[in-house]
Amino acid sequence: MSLSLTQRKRLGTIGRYIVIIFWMLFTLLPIYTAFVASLTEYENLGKSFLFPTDWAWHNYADIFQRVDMTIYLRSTFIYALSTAVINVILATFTGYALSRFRFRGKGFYSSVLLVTQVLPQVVIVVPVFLLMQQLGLYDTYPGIIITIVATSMAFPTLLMRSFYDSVPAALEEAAAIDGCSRLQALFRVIIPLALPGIGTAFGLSFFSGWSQYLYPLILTRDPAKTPVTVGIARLIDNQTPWEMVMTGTLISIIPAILIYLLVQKSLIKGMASGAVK
Amino acid sequence: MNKPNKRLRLGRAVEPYIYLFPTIVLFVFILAIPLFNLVKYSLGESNIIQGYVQWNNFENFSYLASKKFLGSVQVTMIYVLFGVLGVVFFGTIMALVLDKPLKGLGVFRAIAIIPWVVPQAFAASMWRWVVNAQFGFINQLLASLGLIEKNISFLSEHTALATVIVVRIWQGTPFMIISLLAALQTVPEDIYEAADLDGVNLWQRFFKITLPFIRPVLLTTTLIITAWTMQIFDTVYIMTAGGPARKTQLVALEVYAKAFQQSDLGTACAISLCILAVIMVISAFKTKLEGGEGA
Repeated sequence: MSLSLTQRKRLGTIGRYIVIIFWMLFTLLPIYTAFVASLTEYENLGKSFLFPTDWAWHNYADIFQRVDMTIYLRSTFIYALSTAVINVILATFTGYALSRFRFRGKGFYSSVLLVTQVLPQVVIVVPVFLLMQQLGLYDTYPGIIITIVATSMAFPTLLMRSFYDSVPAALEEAAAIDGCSRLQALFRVIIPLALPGIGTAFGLSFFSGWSQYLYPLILTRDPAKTPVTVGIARLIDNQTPWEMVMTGTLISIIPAILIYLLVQKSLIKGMASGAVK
Repeated sequence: MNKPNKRLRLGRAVEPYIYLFPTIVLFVFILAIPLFNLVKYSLGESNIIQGYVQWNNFENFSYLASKKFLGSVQVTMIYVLFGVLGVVFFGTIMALVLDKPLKGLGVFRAIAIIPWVVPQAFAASMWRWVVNAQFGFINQLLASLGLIEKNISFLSEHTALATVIVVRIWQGTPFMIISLLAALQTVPEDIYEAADLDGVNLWQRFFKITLPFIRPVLLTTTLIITAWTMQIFDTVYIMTAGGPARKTQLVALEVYAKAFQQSDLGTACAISLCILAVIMVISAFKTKLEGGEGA
């Protein structure tokens, strides 16, 4: 039996929808079940699994009483924001140097950047733990933040570099003729053009800081510096209050998902250009 | 005329290093010194409080040949192999179905990427709840459909590794989809049209037309995913802590256990060096591939 081209196209579309719907269900399954549990009373966990029946919104208020959620979120925010700000500043200059200059050791520097990208956290955290203790930076924000920055700055840097590459050098030359120094040209001409890149670098770095688990787990034992990743994971034991764990999880991931949905276009463009390169 | 020129040239020679200086300092402290110490600790008796204590004739490396450690290597290999295969398989299929215009495509694409922005630690807590032996969604669903009589324990000795692999596929696939969607843009539209007129089937369409265009990106992305999968720590540590009975004791978890639970710094660093070596080989391969294919 042979089908006409339009018939085959329609069949193809139906097939695509079926595959997509299955994948969407798989993708959203953990988030949806977390949502249902977060609106369920502890005693009723597991009784209703398809839809929330208790609508226990008070869980979202209770978690701040029952768990040190405020402290966890504050630490997480400090890690994320510092990582993003420092990464963007470093990437703005480093990316510029890599894009505009030829210099000795450039190849070596680039390979070091690549090493930081593939270096397993668990490998680096062991010697860093001892180093931080020797330097007196154990249990401090700076100690943890510089570790996060050093291992997460490669991607924003390469991203900024590719943005600078797309800005023609003629613009700087024109600015130089007008009497701008190189730095002035960078700030007045180049950076405004690279703003979308800076935004993407900021977003990506914020995510890196937000999702850290192992570094804060090992580099601090101070409850006041515990991020929400570590704090929530610690709630899981034999008597896990799952409705609290799921509420805390959702509170922590929803900002990330919302920010992502807002900036997804430029983020994915940046990601893809990094990946395809 | 001459003077400013000279100054400019000198300025140009020093300038890039000024921009790079802060990061060079950073790399010395968080990369160079720790890596140097890593080698040092691995070469002797070391512990987490004193650091290097004394030379011990490469004793740390003997653990690498032990049955215990080789078991952990085997677990890691299964995890990486099936985790990566799953990501490549589902990532390719999803990129293909999400490529051409379709009603609701924007929403589907946005949703498909979500796992990528969920921190590993939270993926772990949510999936632990999904597969919970008592109240988890999957058990409830199967029971209410009458498919099972007794709840399945998804994190038991026989199932835990498969479960964490599924979670790995859930996490890793979005990155593959993003990369391949970008690569699919490079396939010229008219080739598909010509193929449609010739009545080419789906199989041929993918292997003869699409694959040659996306192959370089598919290969490099697969290598990146492989390197990432090898160093997953958070998810598996939170879901199983390596258990039960070391059935999910990945090599990365082994480093953590040696260093911070058994205070055997030397062995932890010896294992770390091995992981590093493997990761470096993969990165070198990736760099070579990128240079060779000109992707």
